Amino acid sequence: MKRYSFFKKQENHKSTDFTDVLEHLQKSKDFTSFTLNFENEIYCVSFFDTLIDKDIMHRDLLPYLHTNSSTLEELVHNLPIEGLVFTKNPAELQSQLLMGYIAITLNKSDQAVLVKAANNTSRQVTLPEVEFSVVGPKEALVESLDTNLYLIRKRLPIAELAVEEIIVGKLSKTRVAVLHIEGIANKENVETVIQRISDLRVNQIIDSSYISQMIEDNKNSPFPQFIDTERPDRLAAVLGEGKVVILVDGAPHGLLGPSTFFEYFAAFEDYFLNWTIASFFRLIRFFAVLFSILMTPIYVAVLTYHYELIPKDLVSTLVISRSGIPFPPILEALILELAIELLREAGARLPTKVGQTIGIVGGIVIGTASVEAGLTSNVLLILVALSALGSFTTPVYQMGNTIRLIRFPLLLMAYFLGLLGIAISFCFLLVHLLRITSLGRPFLEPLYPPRIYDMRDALIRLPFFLQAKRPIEVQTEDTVRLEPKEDSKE
Amino acid sequence: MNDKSDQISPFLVFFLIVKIQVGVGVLGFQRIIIQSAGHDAWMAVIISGVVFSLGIWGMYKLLNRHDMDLIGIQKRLFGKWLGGLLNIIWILYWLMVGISVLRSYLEIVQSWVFPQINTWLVTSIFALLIYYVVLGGFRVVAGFCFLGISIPSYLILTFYFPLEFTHFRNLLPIWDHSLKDMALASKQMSYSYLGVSTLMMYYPLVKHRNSSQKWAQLGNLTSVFLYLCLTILTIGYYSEGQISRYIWATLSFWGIVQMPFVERFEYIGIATWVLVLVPSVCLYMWVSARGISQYFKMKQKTIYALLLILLVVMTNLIKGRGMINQFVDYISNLGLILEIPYVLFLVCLSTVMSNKKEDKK
Amino acid sequence: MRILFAKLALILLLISVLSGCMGVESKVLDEINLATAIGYDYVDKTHFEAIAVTPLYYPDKTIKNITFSSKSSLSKDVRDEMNQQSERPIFSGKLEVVLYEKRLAKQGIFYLIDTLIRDPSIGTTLKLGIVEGSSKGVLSPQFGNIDKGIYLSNTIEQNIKMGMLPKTNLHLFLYAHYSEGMDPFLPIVKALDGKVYIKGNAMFNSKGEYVYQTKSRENVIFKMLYENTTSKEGFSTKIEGREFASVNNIKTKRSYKISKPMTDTPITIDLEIKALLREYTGDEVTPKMIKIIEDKMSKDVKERSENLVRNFQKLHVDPLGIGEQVRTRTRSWDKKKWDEIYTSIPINVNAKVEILESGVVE
Repeated sequence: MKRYSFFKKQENHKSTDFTDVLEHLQKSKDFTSFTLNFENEIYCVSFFDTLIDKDIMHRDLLPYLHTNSSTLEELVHNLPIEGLVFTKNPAELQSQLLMGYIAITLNKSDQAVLVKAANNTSRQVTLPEVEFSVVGPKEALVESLDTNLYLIRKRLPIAELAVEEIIVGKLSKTRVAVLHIEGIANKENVETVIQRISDLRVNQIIDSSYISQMIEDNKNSPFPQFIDTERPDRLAAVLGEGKVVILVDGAPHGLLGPSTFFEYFAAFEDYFLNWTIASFFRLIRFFAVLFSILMTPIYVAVLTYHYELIPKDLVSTLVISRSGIPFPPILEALILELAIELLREAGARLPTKVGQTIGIVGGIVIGTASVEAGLTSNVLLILVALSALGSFTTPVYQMGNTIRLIRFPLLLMAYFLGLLGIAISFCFLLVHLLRITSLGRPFLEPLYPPRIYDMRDALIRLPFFLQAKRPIEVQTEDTVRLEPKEDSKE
Repeated sequence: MNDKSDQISPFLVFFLIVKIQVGVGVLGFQRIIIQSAGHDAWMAVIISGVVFSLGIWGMYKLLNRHDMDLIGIQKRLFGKWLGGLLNIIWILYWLMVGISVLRSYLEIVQSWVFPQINTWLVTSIFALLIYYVVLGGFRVVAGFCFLGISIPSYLILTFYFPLEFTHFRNLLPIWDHSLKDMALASKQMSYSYLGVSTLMMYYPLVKHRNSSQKWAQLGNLTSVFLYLCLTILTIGYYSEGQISRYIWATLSFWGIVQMPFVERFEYIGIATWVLVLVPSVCLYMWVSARGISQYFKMKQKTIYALLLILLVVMTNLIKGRGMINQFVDYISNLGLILEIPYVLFLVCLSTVMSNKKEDKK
Repeated sequence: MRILFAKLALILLLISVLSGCMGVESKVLDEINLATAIGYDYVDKTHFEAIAVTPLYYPDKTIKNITFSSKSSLSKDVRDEMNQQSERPIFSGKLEVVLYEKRLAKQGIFYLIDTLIRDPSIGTTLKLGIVEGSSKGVLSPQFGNIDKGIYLSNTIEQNIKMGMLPKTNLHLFLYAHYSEGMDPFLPIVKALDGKVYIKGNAMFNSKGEYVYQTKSRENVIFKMLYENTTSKEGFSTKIEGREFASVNNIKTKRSYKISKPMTDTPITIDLEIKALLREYTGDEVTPKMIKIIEDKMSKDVKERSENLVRNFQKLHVDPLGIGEQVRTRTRSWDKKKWDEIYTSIPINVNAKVEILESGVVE
């Protein structure tokens, strides 16, 4: 027998036939293939027993194979299950076998029938952990694409919800689904996403974050350009806004785009609360982030260069807190910032319960000890702790990471040029935000390009009846979200 | 560069006009006009504002007729050679204004914050920032201009603090100066309004450009209003002899700010001014590069790189307050001729020429 | 785009390496000495002695002052000499108070103030003051657990807000000094067992020379004439024999009536005073009595104000800015002419006291 390499064999499928494929697969321990003899007919049933649901086989398949049927068509006619595929292509046979199908071949015919019996063992739908909300639905996506699609479809039971499926990854053969609502979503957005995904040439797609990193407009930007969410309700809601959703089999997170900078500061819970409260929380979050980015750099700049700025009553507090500290403010700040990052990283790598302990131990013991040892000032400790807290208020995890990262260049610039350095690096940041796009749509919208209408759901969230149109950002085909009542027209 | 995706909404013209007019000059324009027109200086602010309104009207007249940028218009009106020469003058002028803006700002930084700052390094950092902006195309430049107004606008709130020490009686008696004084002050004031000519370069990138004039006029009006408020505040806050001693009167306002968590706001003001000034330098650089790219077939990147190297070198070659002032005066005088009388002359010329064409037909 | 970003990052990195050549001078807050108060004492006609106070903060939250002093004729020399005594460089960015000895002020202090304006690190909220006695006497004694400069500036500020000092700071001093129809004034302080005591206001003439000190009974009057006041302090008037009445929580409004500016026609200052009755040594306070008190007080204030103004005219100083009032009412104002006629213009004050409340007893 000729020894073909795995990939070559796929390409030259014409020269092979079913038996070759089956023989090839026989090498795997978990591949089962047996023959059944009935009245001169020899069925060959083959499958991976790790991939299939044995219940289906025993209940719905094997009992019916005993009935008299001389052709595959007849056989199929008798089978009480759906998802039956005829194929003549050995390559398809192989790939479907690997997807959890059972193949039945008849020695006379060149056809095979594929019975879907995939073992859909997956996690139960559970509470959202990353984007938990006190009020509102408490379902989160799971690793199974079909379950995830079900979770979204049951929220949008309309024919217009289109699901496009693409298989990506030479090795992983991951199913990637692109969802949008026809008639609302901008075709251009959908096509861009589909185009970019099908252009991917990769070996493996393990998670949705792989996709988002590979199809982003600006791959070197620290800013995420697709929102990553585990809430099916959020996905359903943005589909209604006309955005595009990407689901990846095996990933408990969906992606949505195009997204804007301000969306990353909007928790989905904001929509479950009264608009006044929600707006207040959003503003708080936004200021927390600004504080988080700017506070330590300002401390370093002021203490290193601009002592004039400190009001006379604050001078003594600051000087006393710094007295006896051998390091310049920048070093002090870097030590503390890195310490906080260490704590976070250690907490993230450890199991939940141990992680909590680490947080407490690190926060209290290291903090107090470093102040008492005279290595850092307690004023700075407060500021660094607060700015760390501030960075954790962002509802989208990826954005929180970004915010913690961009603090460091600002800190260094503050050390080099004081407030001037902060201003310059802040300009760099702004220009960067101006330059990046998400699916070709400006990222900083509605701030720039200024679109007053979209500001109703950016920094603040106005009541639903004031948001009768879909965001301009998405360039939807159908812009009206709330149709005016009949009687109001009169 | 794709022009289509670079087009901006007409109302952004408002921000571009305000941005280009309100730059480093705001920090210290008061002294010069108050020296000429005393407590009547606020009238000069209005007078030259009106003149610039007229200038903008002229520019729109010209642009709407030809529907192309200034470089193209001059080529059409004066032919290849004379038009080329005039274009070079304009491009050089914009470039030099950009340089003078950056240089004046560094002068402030040197005298207030870091006297011994390494100007080569700082200008290089600025050049880098500008490079990063202009490579993003006009959409990013305009966006930066927009943010460069909206973010620093919080500074307006700080003018509440000097209000406590303002003697509005100082404005009286109204009209106590001769026409000659007023004319001189108006001329000096108009330096602060210079820059609107950049409109003639980004005009083709404005959507519905024919009807964007109202935004440009509104922008000019806003600048007038801003300058007016500052002038009135200055007249009330300082006595006449005192103002002649302060080079940067607006900055000195901030010396009086006292808040529980911060005082001496001028340092924050100077830092924030980066956001005010860099966008206008970017716009000048973008305009010059656009002009140049119509003559030399070079990559945009190369043009910008060359311009910015020139920016860094020139900024560092001009040293000392005397030389800076001389340079700024020279550029401003050129600008004053170019932006108002020359533009109006172009309007007349193009009217005459288009009439002739019609006659021939 | 990608390459550009990498380049940018590289260059930023380079800058950080080169930061040593950035040429910016670091002034780390706890590695410098912040002068909070400076005093100038008279030595001889050309020399003065300067004394600077800087706080030393201890980790147990106590604050001790150290003082540096040196003699010179140029204030920059002074600073150099002080730096020679100090372990850490002395900076003047947080200067709160600058004091001048009276004898020095008599020669004019403007040449000493110039350095304060020229230095951008010094804010215009700085308080200036004149010292009776020596400024060394005011500045060197340690006062409690507070920095001397902050103590002095708080004392002055408190007296501006609540007491009898009119608004004063470096900016207002310069404003008055540089304006054509106005002369500056400064508070006078005096050492008193380690504390200070605000005695009154020192008047300067147009050359910046100290010429007159207000007496304690004139301070309130001066404040009321100088600006629209809201003050906790008040004044008292003799009503009859041994009966005195005093008011506090006054709120005043002043307005000028100048019918024919730049001529000899009298200038009238209307003074409206609203106050609370604080003390009355006579019998019952009846509405009728209040009327009498109001009348008496109005008359008293009028008299005292007119005396004060006449005094100013005699000394040819104009701290109230009457010249400014005239200037803003005249076209093509002539300062020389004003200087000539200022002393001879009759200036009347019309005071009207109104008592709003008479306390919680009747």
